Order: sequence, then C-alpha cells, then structure tokens
Amino acid sequence: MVKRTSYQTGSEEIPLLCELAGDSAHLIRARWVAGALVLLATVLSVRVLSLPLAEGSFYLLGGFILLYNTALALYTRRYNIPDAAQCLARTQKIILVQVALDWLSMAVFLHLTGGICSPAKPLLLIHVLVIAILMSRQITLLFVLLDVGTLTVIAYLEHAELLPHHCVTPAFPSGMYSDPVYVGSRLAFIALAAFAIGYLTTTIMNRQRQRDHRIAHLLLTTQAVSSTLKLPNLLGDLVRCAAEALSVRGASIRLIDESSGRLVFSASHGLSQAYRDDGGPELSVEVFERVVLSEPPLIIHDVSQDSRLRHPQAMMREGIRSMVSAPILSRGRPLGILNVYASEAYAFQAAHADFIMKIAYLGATAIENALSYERLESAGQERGMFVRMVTHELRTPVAGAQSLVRTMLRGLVGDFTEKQSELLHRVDVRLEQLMDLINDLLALAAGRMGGLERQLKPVPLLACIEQSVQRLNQEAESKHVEITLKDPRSELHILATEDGLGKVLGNLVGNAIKYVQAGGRVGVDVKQQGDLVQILISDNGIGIPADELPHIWDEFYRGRNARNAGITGTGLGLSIVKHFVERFGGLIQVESKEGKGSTFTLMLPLCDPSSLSGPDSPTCPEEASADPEGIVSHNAAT
Amino acid sequence: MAKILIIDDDPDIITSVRLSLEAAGHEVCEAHNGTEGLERIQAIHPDLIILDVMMDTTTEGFQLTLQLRNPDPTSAYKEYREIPILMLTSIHSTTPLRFGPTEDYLPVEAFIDKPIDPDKLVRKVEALLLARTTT
Repeated sequence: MVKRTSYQTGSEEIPLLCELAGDSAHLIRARWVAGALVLLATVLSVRVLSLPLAEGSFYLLGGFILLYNTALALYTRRYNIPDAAQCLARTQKIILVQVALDWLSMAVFLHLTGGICSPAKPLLLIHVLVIAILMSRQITLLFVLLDVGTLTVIAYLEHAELLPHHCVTPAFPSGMYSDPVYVGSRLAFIALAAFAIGYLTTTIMNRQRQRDHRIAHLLLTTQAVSSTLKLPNLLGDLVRCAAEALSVRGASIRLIDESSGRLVFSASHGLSQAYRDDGGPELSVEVFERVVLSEPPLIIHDVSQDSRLRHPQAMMREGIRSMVSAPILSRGRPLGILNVYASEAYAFQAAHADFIMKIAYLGATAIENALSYERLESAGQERGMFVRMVTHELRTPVAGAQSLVRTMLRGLVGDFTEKQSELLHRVDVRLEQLMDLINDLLALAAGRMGGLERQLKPVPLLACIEQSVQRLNQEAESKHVEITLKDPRSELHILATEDGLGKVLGNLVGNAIKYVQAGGRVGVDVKQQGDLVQILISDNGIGIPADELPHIWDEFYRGRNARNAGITGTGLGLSIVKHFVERFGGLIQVESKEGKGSTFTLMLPLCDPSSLSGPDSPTCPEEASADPEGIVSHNAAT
Repeated sequence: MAKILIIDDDPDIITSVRLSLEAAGHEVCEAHNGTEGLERIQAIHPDLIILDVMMDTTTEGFQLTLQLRNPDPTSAYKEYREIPILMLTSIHSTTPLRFGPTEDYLPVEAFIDKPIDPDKLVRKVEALLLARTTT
C-alpha cells in the first residue's frame, strides 16, 4: 500500500520558523558590524576629525552592543527544540529581546549624537523596518510609538536641560534643539515616516506570508493527491487541503453521478453530519452549469443575500456565511464541484478563488487517475475470475480422460496387448503434459494478475521449503537423487502468497531434480542476511548453455540440451517463478555451467509476522499432500 | 464389501471411481448433483460418500456437506451425519475458496485429487471404512 502523507499539526509553521531563525542569525551578524562601527567611528571622529564627542560613552555603548550580541549568539547556538511550534515561539521571543536591546542602544546613541539634531535619526527608521519585517503589525506599531516617543522624550529632556545636549556638528546652529518649530516638525515627519514604513512593510510581509502559506499547501496537496489512487482518500485529502490552506471553516466535493447526472456528496471537511445528510447541493444544476462551468469560479460573498443558493437557511444554521465554488474539470469534462466555506461574509477575494481553482484543477487529474485505477482493478478481478473458470473448464475434461486411461492401464476393464498398453501409456503421458500446461498457464496468469499485492501475508518459509522437498521426495528417490537441506533453526517469514511461494519453491526444486542424472545431488541452502533471506537451490545436473542463460525466463523457452535429452516440460516454470518473486519484492539470479550444474539464488525480503495482521499459522497449500495417505490439509475445489 | 455413493457431474470420473471400487469388491451407486445426492443418501444409506465440490454451482459439494453434518437435532439428515465423506478436489486452486478438514469449517474426513488414481482411491476408501468400523 502506498504510504500516505500525514499532516502534523504545526507543519505550516516550519517555513516561518526557518525564515525567522535565519533572520535572527542575520540580525546578530549585522550587530557585530554595528558594534564595531560604533567603536571605529568614535576613534576616527575624535582622533582624525577632532569632533567634540563624549568618547568614553561611545566606547561603553559599542562595548555594550558587542557584549549583548555575544550573549545572544551563544544563547541561540545552544538551544535546539524538536517541537516546531515551541521552537517558533522561542525564536520570536529572542527576536523581541534583540529589537528591545537595539532600541535601548539606539536611544543612547541618538542622545549622544545630538538628540533631535542627531544626523543618526534615520537609524530609527531602520529599526522600525527591521521590526516590520520580522514581527507582527501590532508589535511593529508598538515599536513605532516607542521609538518616536523615545526621541520626543530625549528632545524634551534636552530642551528642559534635564539631560545635557551633545553637539556633534560644531557648524550646526546651537540652540536648534530647543526651538519648538524645529523640534516639532522633525518629530512629526519622523513619526509619519516611521508609521508609513511600519504599516506598508507589514502589509507586504503579510501578503508574502499568505502566499507562501498557500504555495506550501498547494505543494502538500500535490503530494497528498499523487500519493494515493484510492478515490475516498484522495477526495478527503483534497477537501482538507483546500480548507486548511485558506484557514477557513470547511470544504466539500460533490461528484457528478454518471447514471443520474446529479451532484452527489463525495467528501467533506469541517461540516456537520446533519448538514452532510440533509442538505442537497448548495447550487442547482442550472446554476452549476450556467455560472460555475461557464465563468468559474463562483464567489458567494454573503450566503444570506444570495438568491442563487438552494437552501441558504441550512447553510446559515451550519454557520456558513460565504462560499467559493470551483468546477472540477478534466479535459473540459465536468467531474464535479469543489466548494470551500467560510464562517464570515466577504471572506473570499479573487486571490482565494484563484487558489481554489488551482486545487480543483490538481484534483481533477488525480480524480481521473483514481477513477481509471478503479476501473482497471475491477477489470483485473473480472479477468481473474474468467481465467479461473476457463482453467476449470479446461482441466475437467483432461482429468476425466486421465482418470479413464488410468483405470484402463490398471487393467480394470480387461487386459491389453503390449502394443495397446504402450500406446495407452503414451496417451497418459501426453495428458499429464497437457494438465501441467494448464496448471502452469493458470499460475502464470495468477502471477501477472493485478491485485496480488493485496493478498500478500506472512508465510513461513522453512515450513514451505520442507513441504516442497517432501512432496518431491518420491520423484527424487525414484531417480536416486539426494536432496540436502540446510536451513537456520528458527522459522523465517516472508510476505508472499502461499500458492505463489509454493509454486516458486516447487518449480525450482522440481527442476533441479528433473535436470540431474540418476544418482545426482540437489542442495537447498537457506541463509538469513539482515532483512533478507537468501535461498540457494543448486544441482549437479545438465546445466544451461551460456548463450541460453538470458532467455531462460522467457515464456515457453526450453534449453536445447533439455529438449535433446528428452526431458519434458512446458517452458513456463521459470517465467512463473520470476513473476512471483518480483511480486514478493525479491530477486532471482542463476549461475550455470553446461554439463556441471546450475545454482539459482533467490533473495526475498523478510517480514515480522507479529507486526502484520495475517491469518493464524498459514500453511503451504501447494505442498499440501504431504501426508502419505494424502489427507490433504489445504487446497481448493474442482 | 461396502456401499459407496459417488456424487459428481462428470460421467468419466464416475466411471473410473465405479470401475476402481467395484474391482475392489464394493457396491457403487451414483448421483449427478447435490439434490439427487441427498435423495440417494436417504434411499440407500451408503457406508461412504465420495463427493465432488463444483457441480451445478461452484460450492455445491460444500453445501451438501454442511447440510449432512448439521448438528441441529431436528436436522432431516441427522441419521446420516456419521457417514464418512471423501472429497474430490484438484490440488491447484481454481476458486478463491480455501478450506481445511476441521470440525467446524468443513467436516469431511479426507480429500483426493483428480485425476483418479485407482490404487490410491481404493487405499483411501478402505482406510476410511476401517477407521469407521474401529471407532
């Protein structure tokens, strides 16, 4: 089964967290430069330009900036919180501490460079800009007030001579700092600029974040819809993604029922059971065709005021105030409708509707694929049933004929001449070959049939091997072939079908016995290798000519030395083996030398039977007639 | 000598079974579907039943078995409950059904594969008859 993407709470916070953590690091790097610049500029101004600066205070300020920056750098490097939401809150707090400390440094710096006459006033705007980029609108506006307020307080205190005024530009007219017109106009324009920068920047940032949020959700939607072919899962993912991406009340999908042509509720998110049960489509077929299909998307800004809705009362009771409807179109053909609901009127703008159209567009392709997959699956099941019935119909007359021939050969209807007996024997052999072919064709069809993966369950490997070997024992003994079985003591389980694994082992061990000379040796060696099991099936038989090795997996292919030696076979055995091994997630390889023997190496992934729900103690049906009296434990009807 | 009923819709299988068992000295009766089988069971009360699974329907043999072995004391077939059943099967799956010889799942005594091997059939029939007389 395809693993489905799961959404953990707070996954949307991760992009924001990455962004903020990066910004916080930038801020710390920038502050190293700022601290160093304060120190360097002081040295230059005092020693080279001989400006009348309070040198000691500037050194102290520069030192203070570098000191708290060191503390911040050490602190941010140390902590590592696995929970995204907690980590985000912490990062936001650290940034708040940083900008607060910067505010303090800036206030001191502005005072030391002349208060309201300071040439460094643009620093205040930079401070607001940084906060607007990193923090919310409320915090930004708070800092605008704080920054402008601080400058006002400094100006007032200097004017009232409660703080000494530092004049850093000797040519500047002295006394300007106490001129009310100068001070007032400066403060007013700085306040205006700070407010405008704060407001506009937060607007841009919010828009940017919403866009990021929607892109992230579009990506999640893409991942979700491409990871499943099951229609109910797919529709569920689509409605959830649509509602979560826009952070709104809910969403639903209604698909067009092909037989009735009506819109039928297929999936919903955030809607009550009552609403799902009694509400028909929100829009009539006519509105769907006239508005949603011809000029999509349809935005219902206020549910209570829109005459196009069929049952606005029910929607109001559900708490829905506005809605967007987008058609789900696949190659121009309508499949259904995606509705997204909000609890507030006028919640949707053109950008939202456009986003919902994108989700519907994504969904259409995925829904089309899921529908095709459903059709394929049911066709596969029908084909499987057909193959089984055909095989039964083919096998019945052959089994009947074989039964009659064996009855005759047993002498139950009188004696035959030697020639008659020989010919009857040949009939029996040919019928046996035909039966093998029918059985192999069925196995091949089963190995190729869709849906085999769903039947996989833990099968005990060693039990299955042992039964295969036991079943073939009689054949081996009649040829005086010795079978050596080496396996680990504890049982190993693999994810397979009982029939399939039985076929694989039966065919490989059966081939080994078939292609060795009388008195030959066959070995079965099982080794666990980490998560895999390696099964070596070797013989010292006739081997496979090197030029034929690449073809042995082909259907109906038989080696020329096997044909020349008069060994019968359908040429399907190894194709069947390969199909099943691949379906079980395994690998098969062969090494062979003509005249020396062959070794087939089978690698299969192990599974833990306790971690999977399977039926109790599965057995190996293929080898079921292990009991000498043939008390068969598992097989199926004729 | 025992009275054996073979229920199968395939005349060739019936012929082989009949020839094999008659040669071993048994009396063989035949029925060609489940309904006829139940009638014959009541009419002749056989010592052993050989039963095909797929006849008119794919599970007719199963249904007949379950009817015969119904533990309900008012069952119309309660006096035939103890008759051993040998089920005719094919070793290769042809239906998605799976079963095993368990008391509560499919209460039959043994299975035998098609095509019929006369010696194997006679051995198995005699083992079942012997098991019945000794218990």
